[in-house]
Order: sequence, then structure tokens, then C-alpha cells
Amino acid sequence: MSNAAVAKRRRVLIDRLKGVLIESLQLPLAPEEISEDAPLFGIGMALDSIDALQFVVAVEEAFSCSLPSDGIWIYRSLNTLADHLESLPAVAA
Amino acid sequence: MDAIREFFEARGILYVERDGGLAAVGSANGLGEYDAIRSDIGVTDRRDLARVRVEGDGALRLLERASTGNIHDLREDGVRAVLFLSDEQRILTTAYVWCLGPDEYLVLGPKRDGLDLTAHLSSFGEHDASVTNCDAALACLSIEGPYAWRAARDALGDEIAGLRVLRGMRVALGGNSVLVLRVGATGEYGYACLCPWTHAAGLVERLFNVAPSAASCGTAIQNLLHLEVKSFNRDMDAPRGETPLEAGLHWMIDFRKEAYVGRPALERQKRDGVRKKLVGLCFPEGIVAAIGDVLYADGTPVGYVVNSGMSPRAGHGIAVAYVDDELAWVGVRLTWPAGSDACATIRSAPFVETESTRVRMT
Repeated sequence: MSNAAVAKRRRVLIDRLKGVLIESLQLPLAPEEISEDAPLFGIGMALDSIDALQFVVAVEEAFSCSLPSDGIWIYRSLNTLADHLESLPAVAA
Repeated sequence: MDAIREFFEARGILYVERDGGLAAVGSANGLGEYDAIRSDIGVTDRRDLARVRVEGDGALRLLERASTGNIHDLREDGVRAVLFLSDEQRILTTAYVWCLGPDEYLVLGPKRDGLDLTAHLSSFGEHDASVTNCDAALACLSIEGPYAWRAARDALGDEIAGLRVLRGMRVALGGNSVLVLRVGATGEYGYACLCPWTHAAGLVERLFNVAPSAASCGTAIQNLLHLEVKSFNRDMDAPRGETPLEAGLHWMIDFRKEAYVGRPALERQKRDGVRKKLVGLCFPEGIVAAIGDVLYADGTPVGYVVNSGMSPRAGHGIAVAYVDDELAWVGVRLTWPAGSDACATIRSAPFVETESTRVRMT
């Protein structure tokens, strides 16, 4: 896949995840006010455990997938979550 | 020479003059310091951090104007990571703002490029706020590593175990007060401890008594530790005046705040879109681009490296670089120097999974 195609696919996925994040948590943020590499929890966007649950449920619904409950690494940022989603055959397609 | 410096120099830590003061740079065993912070406990003299008290009726107003963060909603013992910007949104420094109580704040941030944080905050001319440089009054030590929480708890009391990230507390120790913040940018558990200089040596000795395996560390190793988790490093990551949005520091900005230094320029860029972004790069085994190297896509220059190194934990070269926005996405492959086959891949941060993500406080 060309760099341009890789970039476009990733941008679309990240934009979609930002939308799910903002809508599911009712964040007072626009997509361009969120960095895809920013930590979602702790020193970063400082989401809490309730936010996490809401977000995970919303992502599972939006992408018709099941996310692991013990994969703490996956939820580190929108980028790491996108990495996981891209690895799922149904989502990658 | 002060007792803290004596203590660390006796353990091989070199001190140098820097940014108008002294800094504990490190030892000849940088890898040992790295291992300590990544696997156990590292203790560092952080006198390189500016410590500024802002208090008075106008303190909140001053910090709201001066910084990008939401100070208004900061409650007692809450800590906020913020940026101080120039009018043109150049990043002057990063800092933590700790609300000590009503109308009382402590600002903790790196001294860089000659920035005198006390003078900078005083320049806002806020008549109802006093801005006091506390460098001569308060020593600052950091405790970092997957077991830093244990050293902090054993040295300072059980209540430390309940201290959440971006929170502070005051601990009574031997009739004195130690200010403790749970912060850090290495991806490991981290605490900053501030106390009067006259009691700092006692605190350091206490820390090493309760944690004999802890290592004395310097500030130089912070470059690699920051890089491994892509924590913004003001020393390295904005060499050409790159902006907060280009550097991915959106989370340090309260976009709903109506006025702060640098806001007009930042909002214009947000509206127009960034042209480049700071991304993480991983390299094939054994090689890594150098700082300043230009990155190419299909023979066209599209970016430049601002920090790089070999990561002991990742086992390969890593870097952060600014790349043109169209290509600044995970999975894109870039070459350097022009025409070579050497290829780096943009990837998600962090580059390493830190031990602290696996260790649970017990």
C-alpha cells in the first residue's frame, strides 16, 4: 500500500474514533482539539474509569467488534486503539 | 556546597552550571540510571526545576492569563500540566501548577533558554498577586520507577499510597512539611518532593534507607526516558519554535478558555490546520536517524528528526520527528538520507511498555 493510502486509511479511522470519543463522553472538544497520540488516562486527557467503560462500549458498537478488557496497552491513546482495530479482520476490511 | 549536592556527588552524580544555576546531570553509569528508573527506583536532585509560588487574590487571574491550562477549576491539591507560551505561541516552557489552597499555587517547571519563570510571571503586573522564587527555599527531589510508590510510602507515610496522579499532598515529617506531587513524564510512577533545603539531606537519607536498592540519578537520562514514551521534552522537541498543536500538546490546552497568552495565534492555527505534526518513528535493528536528519517520502523531503536514540527496552532505534501533516500517520514509511534504502516507520506512542503499567501498588 502506498504511503498516501496508508495515511488516508489511518486518518479516516482516527477521525472516526475521535467522533466516537467526543459523542460517547459528551466532551466539549472538537476533533482538531484532540491529539491521537495523547494519553487517554493519567497525565494526558485524564479520562476516568467510567469514561473508559462508556468509550469502550461505544467503540464496540461503532465498529461491531469486541474489545479485550485486559489489554491496558490498547487503550493508551487513540493511536494504540486504532492499531488494535486495524488488526481485526472485520474492521480492517 | 549543600548537603544534597554532597550526597549525590558522593554517589557519582556530576553537577554542572546550567540555565543560571546548578543541575545534577548524571553519572558515568547512565545505563544504570536508566535501569533504575525503568525497573526499580531512581532518585534525582531536581534543582533544575523552577519553583515559583504565586499567591494572593490575583493569583488565579494571573495563572489563567499566563498559562494554557484550566486553573479556574483546579481544586485544592489538584495539579495541572500547562504550557506557558509567547504571543506567537512559541512554547516557553511546560509546567505543573499545584493549587495549594485558596489563592495559593506552586508552579514547577524546567528552566530553559534563559527563561526566568519568576520574572515571566511577575511581568504580568498582577497587582493582587505575589510571585516568589522558591528555588533558595525549597529543594526538589524526584522519585521515579515502578517501585517509586513503595519508597515514597515507606519514607513519607502510608497516605502516599493513595495519592493519585496529578494530585499533591503535604506530609509531616520530623516536624517539617514535605510537599509531594504525583507527576512525571517517564511513563513510570513518579513523585516530586519539595522541602526546605535544611531538611532535604535528611529526606534523601531516609529515602535510601527505606529503599536501599534505589539509584542516584541525574537529569540527562530524562531525554531517553521521555523519548521512549514520547513525552514532550522542551529541551529537544521544539527546536524551530514548533507550536503546541504541531507537537501534539492539545491536552495541555483549555480550548474553552477565552484569554491567555498565545491564544489568538493558536486559534488561528487550529482553524487553518497544522502543516506538520510530531510523530514517533521506529527503525530497523541497529540503526537510527540522527537529530536533524531530513526524512523523505518518494525522494521528497517531508520531515526532520528532533530527537533520537537507541532504546534499551525497545531493542531498536527510536525517534520523534516533525512530518508534513498529509503523511504524519501511523504506518507511513520514510527514508533517510535521500536515496537510501534505510526506512523508518511512523508508529504509535509509547515505544515501550513501562514496568509501571504492570506493577500495582500493594
